[in-house]
Amino acid sequence: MDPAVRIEGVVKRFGAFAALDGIDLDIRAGELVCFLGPSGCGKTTLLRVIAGLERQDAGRIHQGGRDVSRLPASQRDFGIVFQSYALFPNLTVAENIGYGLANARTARPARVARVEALLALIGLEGSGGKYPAQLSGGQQQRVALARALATSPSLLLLDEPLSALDARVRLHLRGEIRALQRRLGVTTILVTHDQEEALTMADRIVVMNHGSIEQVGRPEEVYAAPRTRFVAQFVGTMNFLRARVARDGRGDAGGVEIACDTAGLAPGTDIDIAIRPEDVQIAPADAGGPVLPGTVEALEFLGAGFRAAIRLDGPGGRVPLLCDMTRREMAAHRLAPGARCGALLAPGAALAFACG
Amino acid sequence: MTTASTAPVQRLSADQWALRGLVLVLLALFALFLALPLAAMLRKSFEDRDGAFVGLANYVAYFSTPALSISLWNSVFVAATTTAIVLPVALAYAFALTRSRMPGQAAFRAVVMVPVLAPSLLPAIALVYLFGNQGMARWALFGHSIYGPIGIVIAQVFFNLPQAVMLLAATLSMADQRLYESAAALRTPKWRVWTTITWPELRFGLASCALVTFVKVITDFGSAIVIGGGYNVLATDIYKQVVGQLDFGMGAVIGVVLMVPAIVAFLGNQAIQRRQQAVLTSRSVPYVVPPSLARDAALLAFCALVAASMLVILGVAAWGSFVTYWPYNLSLSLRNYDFANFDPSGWAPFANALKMAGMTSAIGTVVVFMGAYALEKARGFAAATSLAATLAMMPLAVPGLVLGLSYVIFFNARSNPLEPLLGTLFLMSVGTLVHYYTVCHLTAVAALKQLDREFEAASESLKVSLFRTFMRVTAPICMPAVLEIAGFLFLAAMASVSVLIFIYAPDTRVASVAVVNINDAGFTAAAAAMATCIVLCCAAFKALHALVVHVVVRRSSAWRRRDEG
Repeated sequence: MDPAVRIEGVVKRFGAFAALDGIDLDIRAGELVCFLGPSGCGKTTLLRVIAGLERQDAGRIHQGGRDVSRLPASQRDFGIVFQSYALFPNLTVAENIGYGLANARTARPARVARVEALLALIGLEGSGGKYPAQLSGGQQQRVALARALATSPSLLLLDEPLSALDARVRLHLRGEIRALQRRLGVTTILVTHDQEEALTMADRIVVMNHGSIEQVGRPEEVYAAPRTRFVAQFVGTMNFLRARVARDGRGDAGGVEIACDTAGLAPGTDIDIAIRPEDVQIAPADAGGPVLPGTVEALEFLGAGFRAAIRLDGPGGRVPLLCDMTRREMAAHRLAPGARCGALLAPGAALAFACG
Repeated sequence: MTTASTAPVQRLSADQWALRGLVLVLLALFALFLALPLAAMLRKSFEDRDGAFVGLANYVAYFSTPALSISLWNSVFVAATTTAIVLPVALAYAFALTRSRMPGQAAFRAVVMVPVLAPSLLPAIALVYLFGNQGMARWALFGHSIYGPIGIVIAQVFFNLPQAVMLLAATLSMADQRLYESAAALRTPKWRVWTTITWPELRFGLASCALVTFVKVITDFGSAIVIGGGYNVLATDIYKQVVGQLDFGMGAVIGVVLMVPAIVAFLGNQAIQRRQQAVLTSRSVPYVVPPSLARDAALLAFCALVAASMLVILGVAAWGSFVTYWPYNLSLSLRNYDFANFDPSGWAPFANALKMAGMTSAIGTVVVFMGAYALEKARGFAAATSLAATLAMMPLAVPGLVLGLSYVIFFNARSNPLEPLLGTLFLMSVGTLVHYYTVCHLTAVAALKQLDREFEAASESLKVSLFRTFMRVTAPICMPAVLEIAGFLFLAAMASVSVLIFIYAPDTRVASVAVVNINDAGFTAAAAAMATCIVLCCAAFKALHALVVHVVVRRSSAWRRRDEG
């Protein structure tokens, strides 16, 4: 089966700056794909190229097996929600939602019914006569979504749709958009710089940096097996330990030996060893064996648990390490700043990246 | 890399074709009614009366004829003096409006704007009544004559005060409270607050105000023609060379000379605005004026004096127009309003003025707004849009008199198929529009820039044509700006003289030009009457305009956000 969207070798330059540097990507029908990356990584530009709102300098876009590279936005099939929503302030909610229907040669009664159905879908029954300025941010966001879905497009594009909302509304809408997308089965691309949003909502995440794709994968893959140092550092919290590949294939972080997969890296290569704070366990300082001794520098209360900043001992300098633990563990080890402790890295959890 | 084979050329939507078409139409209009006439004038300045190329001979003749070149220095002197007076007066007045708790600020703001409703000849006519050879307060000049630099300067101060006050008030009201609070928290002495916060904010506004005032005085024609007497300035010289002696070559030379200060001021202003941009951000907090009784009392006295003299000048002109025969028969009558007694065309110029102003306003609003829209929204048409945007700024550097002169030279050429346009109300409207284009264009652009940038993308994604979105969304939201442009153009067209003085025909003469003619013929009272008619008409229009704006804003209050409480 053809992918819903196929992107081939797309390049977009703004002067000497390459916003998109040769992007290849297939998007399957019905999935929700997140473009994730820091600001300026090209994710919004890629979305706009797919929409036809921005012209690529090279490369092709296919949608539903059809080459749409040359078509202007008005001849492509998609609905879009902008970061600012771009609701028309002088039109009512119902007029906004029905804006694209008037042109689709829909008969008036059908149009009214469609708008009513969409209002019900987004839980704003009875608000059709209000103006956007009379709605809350979250409600405006849902109206923008309804307007984009009104013409039943086969592709839904969301450009940072939640970034203008406060945290609580954002959490709620995340789930709502996800549920709606599942229910309608519409292929959706969501652009975000919020890795948590991407992890919770996406079927697949496309991590981008400097106009290139760093990794494509399911959220668990991207989180657990980042393919590059950038992905490891951008998604979730990550410890990086400066190290060198030792003869036996282990990492040597300033004298501290760390087991990690160094396949393909020659002994003596400078590497960063990456490990998540939740993969670090606190142990008694004098446990020996795989336990790395160190000193607690600071403790941070996170609500559900604690995060400890530990300095590992080592002749080549003291190596910093973050470690997450539950409140129970915290109580069991009686940690306090300045206390001696040991760190146990979960076996197989540490990753090695060659230093660029 | 074989970019050529892999880069698909995106087809343009019908909307983008339409926008590009609009940009091209705008470019064509600018070429026809701005660039080509100016080029024709420049060429004319190198030709003799028979149209033969004579190189710089006209310029040499101009600068070696003392009678002509002396007016250059006269103009500079008058402009510099006026600027030196206007600047401190306007600054104090603007300060009172924005940085004091003086009572009656709204009224004082309204009074200082009164001269905007009047043609520039009106203050000069009032001065003739007050200080002229038979003036009622002639003694106040201690034997000096009002006809000459004194009269021109006073009239110019009156005429240029409104925009100077508005410019400086805008600058002063941009003060950021947070800076003053930080200074207070750091225990900064008052003089340092002034040198480090107030002055840096103010200096660009002052410089810009000085440039604008200087150029307006140097290029204004109305005051000097009424009250200049034997004191020649550049603006009256052009008029005399062209209308009196039909020497277009020499007129063109003076026109080019007149453009020099205008261009210098224009470039200076551009440089100032580029540097000024960083001063205020959207996060700024408006300045809160601390109470001070002494300051407010002093400013109130000062503003009362300025406002009173403005009202006196306006009142004297109005009163003089009703006096039956100054100074012999002081009974009031409408005799001077029977214009047929003074000029064969009677009231016709007034009807022409209304027609012309209406046309300027109607055509101008559409052209300006659609033009600004096309320039803002056309995508990937950079060369044409940036050229058109530059041309839209150019009228600021072209004095009205010069624009009018260039029209005569360009459209009067036998080879020009558009020759029949000369002398029509249409061309007079176009000239007025071009002359005031930049201000309107900037208003429209500012309004459009406030809209969400994605409106067009949103409507494109919904497959709704740009035209429909323009009519249903863009235009309604921008209605206040549209009305502002329409109102401004009408008032400007009613009062403007300099653009029109060269391009009217006997049957298309408008009221403001008739004031000049009637005054030239020695009928000061009738000229005052015609000027008063213009003021009354403008005031009535202004009131009607305010009513329309009020209704439109109230109708849209349901959806218009009131961010400022």
